[in-house]
Amino acid sequence: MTITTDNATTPHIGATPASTVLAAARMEHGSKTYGADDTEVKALDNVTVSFETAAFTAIMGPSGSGKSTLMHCLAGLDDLTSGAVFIGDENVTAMNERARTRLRRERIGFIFQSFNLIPTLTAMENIVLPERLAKTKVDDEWLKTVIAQVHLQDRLGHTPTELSGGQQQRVAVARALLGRPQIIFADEPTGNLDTKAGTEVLKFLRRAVDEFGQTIVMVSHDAVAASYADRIVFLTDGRIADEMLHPTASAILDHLKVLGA
Amino acid sequence: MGLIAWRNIVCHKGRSAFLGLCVVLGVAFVAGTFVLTDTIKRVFTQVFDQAYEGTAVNVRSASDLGAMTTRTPLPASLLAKVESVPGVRAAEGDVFVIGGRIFDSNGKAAGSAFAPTFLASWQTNADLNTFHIVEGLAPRGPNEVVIDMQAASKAKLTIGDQVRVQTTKGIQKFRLVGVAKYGSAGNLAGASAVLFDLATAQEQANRIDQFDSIAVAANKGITDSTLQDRIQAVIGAKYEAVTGTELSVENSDSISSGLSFFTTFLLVFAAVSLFVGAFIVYNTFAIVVAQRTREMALLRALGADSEQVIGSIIVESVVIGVIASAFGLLGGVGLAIGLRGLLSALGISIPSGPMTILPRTIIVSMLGGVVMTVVSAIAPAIKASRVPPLAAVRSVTMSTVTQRRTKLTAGAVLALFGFAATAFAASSVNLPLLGVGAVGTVLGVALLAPSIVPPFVHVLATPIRSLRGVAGQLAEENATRGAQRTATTAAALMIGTALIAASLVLAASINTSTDEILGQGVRAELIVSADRVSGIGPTVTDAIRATDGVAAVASYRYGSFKIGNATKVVVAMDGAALTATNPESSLDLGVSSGSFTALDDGGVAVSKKVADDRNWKIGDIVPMVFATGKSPQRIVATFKTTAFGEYIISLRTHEKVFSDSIDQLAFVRIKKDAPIAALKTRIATLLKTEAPTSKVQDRKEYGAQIRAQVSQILNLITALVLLAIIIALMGVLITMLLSVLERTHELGLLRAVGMDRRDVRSMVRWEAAIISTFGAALGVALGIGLGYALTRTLRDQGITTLELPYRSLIIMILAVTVAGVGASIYPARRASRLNVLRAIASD
Repeated sequence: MTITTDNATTPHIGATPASTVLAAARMEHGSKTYGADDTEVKALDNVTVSFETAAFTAIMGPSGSGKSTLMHCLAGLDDLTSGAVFIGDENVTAMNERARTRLRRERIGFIFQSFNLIPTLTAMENIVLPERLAKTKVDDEWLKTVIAQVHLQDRLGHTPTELSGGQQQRVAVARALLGRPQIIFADEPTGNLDTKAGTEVLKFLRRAVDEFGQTIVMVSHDAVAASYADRIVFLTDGRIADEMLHPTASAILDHLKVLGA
Repeated sequence: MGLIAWRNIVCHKGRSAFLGLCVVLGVAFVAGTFVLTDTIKRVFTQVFDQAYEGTAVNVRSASDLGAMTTRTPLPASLLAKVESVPGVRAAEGDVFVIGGRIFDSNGKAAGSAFAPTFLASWQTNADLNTFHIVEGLAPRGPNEVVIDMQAASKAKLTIGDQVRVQTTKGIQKFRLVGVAKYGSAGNLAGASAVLFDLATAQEQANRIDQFDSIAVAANKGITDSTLQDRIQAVIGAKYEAVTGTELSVENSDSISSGLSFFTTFLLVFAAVSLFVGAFIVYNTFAIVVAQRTREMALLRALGADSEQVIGSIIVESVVIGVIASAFGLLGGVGLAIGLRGLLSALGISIPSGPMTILPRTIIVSMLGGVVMTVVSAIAPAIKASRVPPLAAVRSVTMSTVTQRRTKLTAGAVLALFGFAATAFAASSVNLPLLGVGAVGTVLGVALLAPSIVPPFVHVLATPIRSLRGVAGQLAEENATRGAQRTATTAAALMIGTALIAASLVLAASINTSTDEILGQGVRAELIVSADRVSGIGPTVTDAIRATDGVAAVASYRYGSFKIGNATKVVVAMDGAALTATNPESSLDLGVSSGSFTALDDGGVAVSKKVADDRNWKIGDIVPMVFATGKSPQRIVATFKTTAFGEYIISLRTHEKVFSDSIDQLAFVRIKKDAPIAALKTRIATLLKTEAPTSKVQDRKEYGAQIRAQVSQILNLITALVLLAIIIALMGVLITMLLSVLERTHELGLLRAVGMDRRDVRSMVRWEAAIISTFGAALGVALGIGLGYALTRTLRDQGITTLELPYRSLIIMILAVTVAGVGASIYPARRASRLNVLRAIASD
């Protein structure tokens, strides 16, 4: 773990488009390299980016652009080679594994592309799993609200194998929402779903931001999915290439064409 | 995390059940051993308490050999002295001598070949009589007997029958007038009794004017111990007075100490089963953890800390451990009931009574089962906790290179030290060290095994590849790919196989050595032997001696004595029978110094080994203590062959220091031109009427009999080890099942590109065959090493040749392989029935 001390102690206010004070998460001069010498690959190359609270941000980019690495590093799942990551005002880069575990427990929610659920637990048990792990009390009112939001009332007793892909993903959304985390990271949440189910999940995410003020950062290569976001950060070759506010699907596609060229 | 643990158990019922079964079997073995031996102990304590209820004090000869020994008889005159002690209400002398035999109407010996038949006197005072009549009358006069209930029912004898009984006076007919019980039991711990009136008993048991003990009933108001003190003051130090309670405790204790060997013996095998079970539990958890990597990572990503991940697996193991141990405990009670039936079928009848389940049994079984399961799950649990959360989204390779090197070194060190400890422990008969050594060896080999797997499997699979083509090749690759898993599964099989292989090597070596001794050391053409409990009476020996064509008969007796605190066996034979220069001698033990002829004037011959160990030479005094008291003997000879005993005294000395004169063997030399076969028939005819429990054999037959005894013990050990092997086979089943599950996607692909179901089944079965053969081969290699160590240790006990029973060892490897394939039938079928589409779609 490399920490650039000046970055960690003196945040570059104003270095990012959104105000740092309000940022739910941010990366400063983040670089990540895999391998060494000849085989060295720069997955992230001096990335500085910030994610606004109560906003839905999408990270887009072609395969190998580093968008997944960016998210994994932001979430503290992976370490930067240099630079720093903050969740709120806490420096994730400087944390040990125990502190990161607490961070994941208390402040971060995850929605993965697949294998989101523990196969032996029911939908309901999966939803409340983070609270059980953290040994915190579940807010029953909020639980009801969340479940109602994702329309899972009659599937709660089923195990993941008895649920469709869309339903499984909705369980994952509910689980992420239940903890009211500072930020939810969603890694291609609709990648494995058909259009209808995908749309449903995206609508839920959108509503979570609009109605509950939830902060969501989503990685996607799907323009339609990204169009649900408030802001899109484009990544190519490990660098921030561009960003777009209030995107539409067609605008995104056009933009991707430019980037690809 | 408890919920996840519980769900994992419930959702993988099959796996949990098999896993549990491995624990159940081991625990049942432990619990069964305890329940059985506790039950026997308790039942006998009750029986003895009841038998000695009315006895306040018992007077007998003092003995330096401990409680339960054959004691010198008391002079009948002592009875009057005891009767005169104030406070004595009644006193009665009795006779109680080993060496009887009851025959049924077909002339067959009744009762077991393991427990003796006593010749005893019927006590007229009911309070002092340990027996009581359940049917018929007490014996009266020289022609009447009462026998114990068990013997009566076994020999199908009813009151009024003429019963043939062997006594020290030979075989005679008596009229059965009554059937008796000993205390509350049908007989005494399986031993039988023939009860005469006192005078007849004294006559038949060679106790004229003598008693074996005097039982005393006390007046009211006087305590047993007061009476004991008063009597002791009168009778002097040559005799001792013990209370009825002490006698009862002494009897129960002797049963307990007899049992404790049996208990330890069984517990050793139970421990082996538990250990093998632990291996399987470890292997299963390790595989399952590897398969659940993503699940662990997801938990970590959702905020589980490493303690919680460890916790979930530990809880899972605790639950399985507790449930399985509880079932094991129940199974143990069942096992004990079954074993009791088995013992009674062998003639060791145990008085009826409910099974005794002591708190100790419950604690040891539950704790043993749970601790074993949990300890086995710890390493996999720690490994699971090291799964990084990133593995939830991306495949992460955890480095194992450095681990492997440490593992190899640790394995080599463990295996070497373990083996050294085992060999050393075997030579010093140090059971705990033997256990530690064996565990070390096994763990060491198990750690080393993964690196032996690829080359071994490659050699092994060469014929399979050419035989089964792709299926064979894939089987090999699968076995090699999961080298650690293959190794651990094989190691579990190795343990049982090694034990059997070591026993096979030892047994073969004993047999070969016996043949050599019989060929070189035994000169006698014929050997007369009795069953374990009867012995050959002097009248029989005399009759053989008088048979036409017999040149000489040498009696062979043995008994125990003490040097310091050590109990040793002494053999009694006449010097002439041992003197090589005597053309009619029976044994040639190879004199090192001195001469056997001198034995006839008293003294002892000791083996060269003993003499060297104790630094004795000719003329030194051996401080021997017999049941009849101290009798130091001067060393007159040392000899090489120890197969017939390490201390030898003459028959005359034997008669002085022991109170019986029963031969265990009689060596027969025949006249030069007499035909062996004809003489054998003649002696056999003689024995048929004079001593039906004895038989005559030539050297070859005698050797075969010893072989049969050796193979009986071998069979018993094999039966006990079998459980460990069954558990290990269950391990093969679980491993194959999990490996099929893990390869669902791959199997789907194979099926999709054209592999048929038969090929899939064959692939799984061949992999199991490879694992099993590997385990069995490792086991045989280890077993040969262990057998060699044991044989070296026992060299001084007459096992001079190391013999490798190649055929049996190869058959065992094949049998284990076939059993392994058998265990993989179900996983193979599961694999072949996968739905191709769904299998491919699965992640």
